[in-house]
Amino acid sequence: MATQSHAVKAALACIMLASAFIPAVRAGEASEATFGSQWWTQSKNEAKYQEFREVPRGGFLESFMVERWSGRNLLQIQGVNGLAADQSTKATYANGVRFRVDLGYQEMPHLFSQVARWGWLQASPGVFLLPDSLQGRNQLIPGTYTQRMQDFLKTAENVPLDFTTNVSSARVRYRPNKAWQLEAKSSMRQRDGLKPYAISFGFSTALENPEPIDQTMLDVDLVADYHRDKFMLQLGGGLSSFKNDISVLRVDNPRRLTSIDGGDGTNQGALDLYPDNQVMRGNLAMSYELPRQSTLSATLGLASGKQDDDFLPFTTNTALPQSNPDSLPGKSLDARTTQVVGDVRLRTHAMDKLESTLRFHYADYQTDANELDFIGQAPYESSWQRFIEHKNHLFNSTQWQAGLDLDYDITSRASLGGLAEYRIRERSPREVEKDAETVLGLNARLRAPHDILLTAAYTRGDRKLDEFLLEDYISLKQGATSGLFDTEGLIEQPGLRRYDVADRVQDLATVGASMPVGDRLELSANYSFTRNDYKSETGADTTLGLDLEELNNVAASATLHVNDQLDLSGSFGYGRTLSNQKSRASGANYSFLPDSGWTADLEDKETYVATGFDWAPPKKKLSLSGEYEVSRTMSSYDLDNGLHNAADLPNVFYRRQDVTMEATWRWLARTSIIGRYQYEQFDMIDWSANNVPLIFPVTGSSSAVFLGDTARSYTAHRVALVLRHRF
Amino acid sequence: MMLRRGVVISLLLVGSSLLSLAATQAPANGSGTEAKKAGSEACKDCHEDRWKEFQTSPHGRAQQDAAVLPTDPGCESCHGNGSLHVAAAGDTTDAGFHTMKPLSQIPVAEADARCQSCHASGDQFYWKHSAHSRKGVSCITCHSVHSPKNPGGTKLLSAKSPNDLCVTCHKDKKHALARSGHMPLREGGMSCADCHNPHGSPGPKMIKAATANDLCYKCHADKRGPMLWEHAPVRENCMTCHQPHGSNNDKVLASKKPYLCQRCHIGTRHPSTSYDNRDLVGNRTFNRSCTNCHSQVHGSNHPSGKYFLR
Repeated sequence: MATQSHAVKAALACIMLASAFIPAVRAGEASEATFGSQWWTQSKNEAKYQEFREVPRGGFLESFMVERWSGRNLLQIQGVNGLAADQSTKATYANGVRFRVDLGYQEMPHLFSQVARWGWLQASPGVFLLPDSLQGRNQLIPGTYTQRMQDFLKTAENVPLDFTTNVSSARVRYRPNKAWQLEAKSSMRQRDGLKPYAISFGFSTALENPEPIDQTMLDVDLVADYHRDKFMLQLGGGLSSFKNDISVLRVDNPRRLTSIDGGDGTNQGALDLYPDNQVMRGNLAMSYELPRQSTLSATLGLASGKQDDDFLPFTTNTALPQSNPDSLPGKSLDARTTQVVGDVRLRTHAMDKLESTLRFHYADYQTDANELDFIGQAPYESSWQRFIEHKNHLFNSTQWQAGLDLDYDITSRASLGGLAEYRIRERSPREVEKDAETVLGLNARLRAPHDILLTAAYTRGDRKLDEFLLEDYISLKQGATSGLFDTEGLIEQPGLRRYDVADRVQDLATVGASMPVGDRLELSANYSFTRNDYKSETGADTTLGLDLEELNNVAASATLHVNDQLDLSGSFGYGRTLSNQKSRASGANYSFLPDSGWTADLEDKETYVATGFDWAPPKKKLSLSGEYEVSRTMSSYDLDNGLHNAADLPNVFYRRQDVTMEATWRWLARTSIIGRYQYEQFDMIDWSANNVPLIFPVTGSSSAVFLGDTARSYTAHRVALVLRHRF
Repeated sequence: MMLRRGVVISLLLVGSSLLSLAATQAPANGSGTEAKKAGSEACKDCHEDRWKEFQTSPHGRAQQDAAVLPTDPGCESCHGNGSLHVAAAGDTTDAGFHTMKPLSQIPVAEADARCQSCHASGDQFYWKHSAHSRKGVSCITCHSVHSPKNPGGTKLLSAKSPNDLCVTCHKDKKHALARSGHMPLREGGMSCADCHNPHGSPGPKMIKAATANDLCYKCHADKRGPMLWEHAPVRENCMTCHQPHGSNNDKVLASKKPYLCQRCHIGTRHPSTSYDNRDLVGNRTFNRSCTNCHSQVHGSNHPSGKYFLR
């Protein structure tokens, strides 16, 4: 994988070098390169600074573009962040509009942590081992497990938690005549690295671990377009495959050298990572222009998926007979999926001033697979839980919606619109296998004098579940015999209505305005409101679960063209999200305790401000620009319980500020020198992510092991000297 | 009952639309002399700078390929036939002068129709049914044929990048992308157009897939399954738990764990426990919270993975 990446980089370097020797530019050709050197410092080694990018030290190639025309032939190569971990390069060859080839290569980093540590040794991809001596001592003397692990992890090596996604893409388009356009496109996405994941060996013994990633996703599609007079046809087909080269994660259990039935269980646990899968798909779409500016379009899509990865044994615990793969009821799921999507739309202009769109959308997803009786499970691989029946369920869903949009022009400046939509969703198995929603909406648009534009829209959706099936909350529980799940009982609170399928009244409203003030100032603002009120089928508030969600958002922006030299811009945003959820604590077998109800009122508030200026006097060599952006969020957790002794969680706070100042000196006609300074400040207070230790809690024998990938506030300064040259 | 209501509403919708189609009036017949083609060369004398710039632009160069294009891509294919305009010889009081106009000065539907005379298939196949088209957004709202602002871009955008363009109208998304939990849009690793086709699509919200999950699987095909043990809301819609435009929570989650999970899981014992400040010393609230153990929340293919522990 790494070799392949180096080969791609070498090829890109050759292309860049070669492009420099392409003959000089002609009219309409615009080639340039921007490169330089920079220095930066960061107060703490926090990954957020380079979460999705590389900030290089020293020389860098910021961007380049080479464009050459020879008659009707175009060759264009362009890229950003050349050879860096977040590079992107595109090359295009076109022979007029008849034939075109696009090639692309992109690397996308995702950095999670630079301070994580992990003491396990990766013996082979996906297999993490501990010294036998450590496992042995922990097994023999569990009372001092925490101290021993703490001592061991102190010396653990730093583990880079990051992965890179390399995307290679190609597209060929050919237009043989006026009617046809043919296109073939493909992309290969390779993902490689480590990300934080977790495995547990018991009810309170979580173990955070790196998950090695070596995945390849390949997509290939062929599309043919036919267009003649009023008729258009689009025919497409393709395939998509996902291949996981590390499909099993094996991690030594720090507590056991030898496996036993019960207690701390196995000496090594196994996670089944994402299985390989493939999808074949086809698509047929047609569009026909009817009289009176009306258009009918219809689309039919079919897809067939497959997943046939071999099962792992029930457990790696050799003390359990179920570690033998022969105890499995089948070798694999041997699953096939079928997806059918249909879409029909008719847009008409009934009268000069009335436009309507009638639409119908249908999506169906069906799974066909082995339905197997798994006889039981070993969830932590410590002991066997036998079920008198333990079958997998095949997920199926169907959704369809029909809608009508109307737009009526009252005058040339004002219009009114309406929306009516009906949606039905079905899925199984779920406690709600069918629901339906009616959505009605109104919108208005007014273009007032002086180019003032005012818009407003409101929709209300009323979703009702068809029938609540309590039996979906019933499953097998352990009865009189330990380890035998043979007694039916509730596994979920009967009053719970899950928000994705619960009754819901949804209100959505937006208002917006934009206006120019004179020739130089442009103002715009909008406000949006969303309210999701989850009601039970009886009309009362949802008994348990998410009860209410409310989102408010205000945004405004202004641009001021002060004069020919100076432009100013600014934008502001404020958002507030409230949610309320209700629950009820219970012990085993729903032994509800008195005063066991509790609520959580969560609030997110965010503020966003951005300002900028561009000072570029014409015919002067110096120009200046600057930007300031701040995004600040505060989340609060207001908790209450029946005894009114709940202690609220601390507020979570995130703030990121960026300042960029740039001075450009037009040194020569085609060459500019740029001095740039960037400042970034990231502040965070988050009870879930600050001060993550390697072992947690530090006392007690049920300690969890973490990667120590704690997140921290930082400030960063970056100074760069850049040269931009137009060829 | 519900199905019957749905059928009735659907019939009403179909009926009203067909009635409106039947009631369609013929457009008013234009009168007067109609302009005829004058050829792009005729524009050169008065609009020399524009003409020169156009000749080396993608549209100008496409003139060589008129044989494979539905319309001859010269000045008149966008601005209308020019014979009367040319005949007016710069006299703005002559009605013929105004028969040729910039696209910004003609009705949106007409302007779009001119673009669509060549750009109707491929990515633009669904334009006429797109939310943008219905809401009066024109091709030239986002594209500038003569003065594109995206350097080196062949899409002739009227902003430096697709993202800059989209947030001029979708301001709330600009703020969402700046949240601490976000996808790599602000870093340039992704673009709005990676997920949405602004020209329309048969999917919801103009996404480049038939369903929301199909769109997510384009980059996250690892989650596509199907799995032995499915997490049903995950399989039905990724957005049950994730806010793709950005959130204040890790992994662009819609709420913070454990409360996100506890919206739906309040069964016996620990799922229903009220976790508060005192529980920060426990591994069900701190760090990965519920996923400290239930890491396989997207579904598991392990025979012992029903609770997403394996």
